[in-house]
Amino acid sequence: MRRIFNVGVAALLLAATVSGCSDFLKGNALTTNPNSPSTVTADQLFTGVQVANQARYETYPYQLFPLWSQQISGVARQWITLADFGNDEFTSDGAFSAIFTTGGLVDIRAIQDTARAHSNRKFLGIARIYEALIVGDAADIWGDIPYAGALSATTKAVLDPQAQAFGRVQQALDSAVLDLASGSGVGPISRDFVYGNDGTKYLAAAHTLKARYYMHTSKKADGTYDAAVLANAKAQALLGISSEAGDWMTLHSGATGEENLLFGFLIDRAGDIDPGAVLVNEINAAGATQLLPQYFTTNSVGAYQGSPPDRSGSNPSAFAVKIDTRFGIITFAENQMILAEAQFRLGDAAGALTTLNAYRATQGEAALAVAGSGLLTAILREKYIHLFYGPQPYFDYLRTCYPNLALPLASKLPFIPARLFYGYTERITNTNIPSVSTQSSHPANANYPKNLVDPTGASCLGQRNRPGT
Amino acid sequence: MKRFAVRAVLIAGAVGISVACATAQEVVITGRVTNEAGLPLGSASVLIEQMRLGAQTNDAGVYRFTVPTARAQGQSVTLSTRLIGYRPNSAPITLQPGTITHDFVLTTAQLILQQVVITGAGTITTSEKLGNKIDMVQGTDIANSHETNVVEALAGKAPNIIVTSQSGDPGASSSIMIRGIKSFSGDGQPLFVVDGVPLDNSTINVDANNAGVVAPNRMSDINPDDIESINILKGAAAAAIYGARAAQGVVLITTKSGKPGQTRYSLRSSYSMDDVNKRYPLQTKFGQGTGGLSGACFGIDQVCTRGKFSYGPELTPAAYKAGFLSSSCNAACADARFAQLFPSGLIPTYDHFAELFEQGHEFNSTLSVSGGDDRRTFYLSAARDAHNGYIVGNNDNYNRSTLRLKATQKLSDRFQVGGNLAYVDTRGSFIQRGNNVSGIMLGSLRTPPEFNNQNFLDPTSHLHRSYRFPNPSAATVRNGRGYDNPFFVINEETATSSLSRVFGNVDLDYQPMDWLTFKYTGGGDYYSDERLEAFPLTNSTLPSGALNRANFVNYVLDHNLLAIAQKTFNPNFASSVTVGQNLNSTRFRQIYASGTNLLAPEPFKLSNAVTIVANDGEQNVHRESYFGQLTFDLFSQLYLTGAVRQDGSSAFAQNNRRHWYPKASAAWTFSDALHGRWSDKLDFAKARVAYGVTGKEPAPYSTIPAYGVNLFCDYGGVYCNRTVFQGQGGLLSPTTRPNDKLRPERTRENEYGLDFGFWRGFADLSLTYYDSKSDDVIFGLPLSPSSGYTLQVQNAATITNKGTEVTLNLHPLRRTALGWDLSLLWSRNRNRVQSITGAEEVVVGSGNFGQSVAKPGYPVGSIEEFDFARCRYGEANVINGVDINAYCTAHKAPQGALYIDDGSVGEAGFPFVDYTPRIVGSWEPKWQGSIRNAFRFGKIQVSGLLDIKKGGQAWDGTRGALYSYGTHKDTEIRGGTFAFGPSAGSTKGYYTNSVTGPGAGTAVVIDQGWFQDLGGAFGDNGAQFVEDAGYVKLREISVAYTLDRPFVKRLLGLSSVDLRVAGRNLKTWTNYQGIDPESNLAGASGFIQGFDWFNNPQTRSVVISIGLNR
Repeated sequence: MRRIFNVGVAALLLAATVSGCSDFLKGNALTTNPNSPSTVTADQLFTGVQVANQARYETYPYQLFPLWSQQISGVARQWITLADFGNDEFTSDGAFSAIFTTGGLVDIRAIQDTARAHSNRKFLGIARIYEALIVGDAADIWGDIPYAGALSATTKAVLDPQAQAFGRVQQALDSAVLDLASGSGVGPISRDFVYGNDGTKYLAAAHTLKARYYMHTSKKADGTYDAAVLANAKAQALLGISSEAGDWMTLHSGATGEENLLFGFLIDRAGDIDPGAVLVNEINAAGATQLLPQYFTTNSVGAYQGSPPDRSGSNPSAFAVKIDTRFGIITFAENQMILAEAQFRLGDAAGALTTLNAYRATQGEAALAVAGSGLLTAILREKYIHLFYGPQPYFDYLRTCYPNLALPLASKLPFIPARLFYGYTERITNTNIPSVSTQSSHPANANYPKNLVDPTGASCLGQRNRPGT
Repeated sequence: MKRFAVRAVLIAGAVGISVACATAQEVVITGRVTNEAGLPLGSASVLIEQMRLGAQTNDAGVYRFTVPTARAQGQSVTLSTRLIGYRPNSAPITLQPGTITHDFVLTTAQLILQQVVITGAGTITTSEKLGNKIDMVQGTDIANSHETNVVEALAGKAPNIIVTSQSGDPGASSSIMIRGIKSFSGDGQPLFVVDGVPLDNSTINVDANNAGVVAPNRMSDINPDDIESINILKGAAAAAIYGARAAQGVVLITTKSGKPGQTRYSLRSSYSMDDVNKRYPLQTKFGQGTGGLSGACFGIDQVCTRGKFSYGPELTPAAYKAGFLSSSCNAACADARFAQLFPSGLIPTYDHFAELFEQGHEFNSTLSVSGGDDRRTFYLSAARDAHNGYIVGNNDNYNRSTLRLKATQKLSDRFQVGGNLAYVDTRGSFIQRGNNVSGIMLGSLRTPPEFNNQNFLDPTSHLHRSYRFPNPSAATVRNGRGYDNPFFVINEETATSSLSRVFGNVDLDYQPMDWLTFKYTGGGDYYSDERLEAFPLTNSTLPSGALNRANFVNYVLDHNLLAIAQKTFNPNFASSVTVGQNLNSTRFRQIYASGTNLLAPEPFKLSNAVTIVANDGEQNVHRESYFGQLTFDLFSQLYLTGAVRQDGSSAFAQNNRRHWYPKASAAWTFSDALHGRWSDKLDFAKARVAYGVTGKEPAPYSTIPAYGVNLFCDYGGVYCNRTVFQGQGGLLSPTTRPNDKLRPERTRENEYGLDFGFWRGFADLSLTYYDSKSDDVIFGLPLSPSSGYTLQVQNAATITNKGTEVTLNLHPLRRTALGWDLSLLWSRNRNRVQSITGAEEVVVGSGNFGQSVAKPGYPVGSIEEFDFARCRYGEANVINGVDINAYCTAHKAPQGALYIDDGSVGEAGFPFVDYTPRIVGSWEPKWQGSIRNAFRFGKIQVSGLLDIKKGGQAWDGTRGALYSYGTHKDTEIRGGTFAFGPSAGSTKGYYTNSVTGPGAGTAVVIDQGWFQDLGGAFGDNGAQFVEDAGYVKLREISVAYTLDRPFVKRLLGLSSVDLRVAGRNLKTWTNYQGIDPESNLAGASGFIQGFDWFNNPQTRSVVISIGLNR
């Protein structure tokens, strides 16, 4: 009897244990994530996208562009190698991913979808400008890029030819202009820390951006310029940013998490980069010495001194960047120099000089009396010195061979590269991306046929030995 | 958890009922167990197996236990005895009321065939019935290794386990890898189960795991002196009983228990001295500067912008002065500068490696009291380990105090309760290391030889000075120093941990009938680990000062209920059935707060920081499992086992939570079928075959989307913009696409083995071959970023591990006063990624610079780097427009010959980089082995353990970095003229293997430009720093003497005194040029090894210990 009792107790015990646990695997903090929200609003995404966007221009690998346009010099550790073009597909991996992933197209499109659903055309237009800005940059940097087929969960995106990508970017900007001009929608309201929800400013920025991409695509394969495209660039620039009050700038405060990231870099990696000798020289040549103390500090003998591209010069200056220094992303300076260059190339030298000098006057720089290649040089120089630390001088260099940059002394290549490698992650996961060896043996950027000479007719030191056209 | 409590009450109720049902009449069985020499054998088990009644012998060899009259009905039963190291013995007895006396004489049997083996989840068997390999390590071997970390103590103790110590820092982690990695993620560590309860073995870093300070793996909380034995369940067949948590194997630890008899007292104390096992080669010929010019600086607050490197002038007064000359500094100026730097007129040099280290000391003491009688046992221990490490000063230390009580009580002859409670307190103080501008090796090894780091405070301002910022004024109290002076780090920076941990279990063992047993284990493991890291003002990481506070709380509850039915139907047929249930609740929480920009230099409190950023997180997993096992014993020679486990885990998506894990094995003792043939040569022979499936679950919440606050950081990663910006809460989509279709990783393993015993215990041999395949490997599969996400956790890869294990034990001398035991272990494991769906390769591991990959055809964690252009026949090999292979073919160059450029691509006479990433090595060894020798001369024992790892590579990035900085000894050749390739004429060869190419033989100058670019770690060729990391280590060597003469008792009142002198890692033979071939920067927090980037060194040590026993 006792045995039966014991077995019964034991069986009951086991049964109770087994049956009691049907919900043991479910519940709060087990089947919901206790650490992160699983839903998001367009407003929240917009704040994130703005931060992601401005950070891109101040961080690696976008720092390669001022390095390669020799506005800055790599003088220690990885920065020597990078100055000598020792970049690879890992160098560009994060930046390539960022076009599409968190803070990039995936979130920009999510904002657009929400804005569309709420008929908030102002917000939609602004989000479209972000799309055009990020994709336009990508087309400049990588050439052919995945765009039309991007963001698919099922199929691998094919590469849109570079010209098509620029074409789609222009379409996105056209739509943005229509959205912003419609007067419909409230925009991102207080979420906007670029223009404080000022639709007019966004509209001007959209036009400047259109002008930028028209200028970038105005050069034909034979090296001549397409007058129609230049005319578009000029027309858009005339509608573009009309004063520095309309500049699209990065925003930094002294608060933790809101620092200028070049400022942070200069602390984290002190001694890795110096001011570029070319930039210092160009500023002096432009008579724009007011820029020197804005950008740099004096050296031990009170002078401004840059370094050669891949090594430290004697007694170089340091950077004057502060925790809250703001850099331009789309600016009045760029707009006016696009206008001036378009005017010049369309045969309106007088107009170009007027535009140039009018801009110089706003900067406290003396009017210039230059003509011919001297005028073109002055326009390109003005742009080079005022668009410090951004990628535009590098794109302009590829297009114009201005400044006529010498190769770094220890250059690993006999030319300055015309684009970056595709990101490693995309290459290993998307068979539409050409192999590394194919990429490295085709260093050209179709949009920027190589220059054999600079604007003055001198041999183009950094491009003449580039393979291909 | 409520139901959990209810169940506990139910069980407690059952306990009470059982007590009430017990009766008190007894049959007494007693006797004595001795060896062939007539000496008493303590700790032998004597039992009636079919009744599960028995006892252990005391020191006098006497056993005694009772059989209640209710169960003693005149039947014949078998009384058997067994003891490790002896052949078991048995005798028939008839259970009649009264006292039955039976003495046993046991003969030595070195092979532990009949040893009881814990097979997990409460199940046990004997060795001979095992169809799979379980390696057993005795507690004495653990204790005698004198390692305070039980994981480290396993090094060389079993085949096919790779034990790697992070570094010689006190409290550094040790990792263990069993039969190769089965996954692309996680730490690759096995499940640790202590007395039936899973115990956390996390290694948690506050910073990135290649930076910050070392962190212990939490199994180091166990006092090795408390360990009775360790069983390592290596293969899937052995580990399948733990289902979804056992993919990397299971380590079962059994702690010491009390034994019936006189109460025993034992005090074991040891004192250990440790120091670095290697000097690092640094040059002392050239000084601070670049291009031969001096980079030293003089002015107050001057930053040595040209002084980061040691490519300055030669360290002679004349050259040093000349190094100052420039347009702004004439000879008088140079003389003045020299005099300011070196008032004596001589240039001293410093060994920046050796000056960091001193002799470390460790004092370890364990006091234990144990005893019991035939109804109850107890074991109580208290231990303290205090380790003051090898870095100068007293700020690297790790102290552990442990208390343990284990007790059992028979409430009736059918009911036993037991409890086990351990408390651990650890306190550590650590020094910054690794990939970190505050790391001591980084700051020290990069310092020019003539700079005195030991004067780390400026004599005037009393502020932190470094070689890149030597003369700070009070104005620079919030400026960084480039790299922190290592002595500032050692003396002024703080990193501490303070942990309290409680773990233990309650066991109930209830046998309602002779054939039926219920076992219950309810266990818990709780710890709270408080960390503080403080960076004072002027540190180079965050010059305005910072502190990080973190608190990690881990809480595990585990419930295991088991019913075992077993019956011997006749001598040729016995069977058992086991069913069980396991519930496990694991909850991990962390709170992390960092304060930056300190208001005042101290205190290091969040309240003293201008900016405080805090975050918290948690991970919770519940698991619910059921399992059953069926065994058959046929003809006492064929043993069959089959089992299945169903695991449910909350980490999976809702409709996919439960998964099955089967296993089956067979063991055939075929020597019994030989009917005595060759019995003079062959003691026994066993064949075994096993199959099992284990698994791994994904990290929790992998199935759910998670929007987050993102950081966008500068290249150094310290300054970051957050998407909480201008007071607005910004969120961004995750880079990882959630996946609600995740299945468990599954490892299916076949194992085959043969075990032999020869020549009456002279030798035994065990051979094992296994072949495992891990499918559905869970990892973050790279997605095309153009899809909007870069990762998705998927089941998308297959890995195989195939291996062989050989254990040969020889006992050439087995006399009472003279013994010699020799043990040889050999093993190899071939790990290969078979396939990855959706990616060519995957970057795996952490703690390195992303060069560890999983790629089909190669081991997981292979090192991928760029190499120079070389002859690579059979591959596409056109680089920068040059058809390398065409040249190689035309010039009949061998495969792998280095292609030397003629200036058409780079510089003439130099190689150039091939920007196709290639697998250039792997840390997987070709094979491993160990040789253990033990001699016994009377009371003296001498033993040694050699641990051998053949093959496997490591990336010696430290060497590459120091080439770039010009402080490595190898850079003393700077300015010399060499040619790539073997020496020719008067030109020395620089790279002495085969070369080819149009520039081959061209004399070039190897100088700063080479070392800082193609020839250094910051250039693009990482392959040149991949080195053979094989080694032979003298792990242990010891001499021990046991003093148990009568006067010991007479004078000291002790039964014996053990004296021991031992050496640990006294000698390493290796070709590896870095700090140590088994250095592991990331420690046990990741499974990838072979990454050397300013790792702290390993140690060798000498230990003196004394044991007092009563």
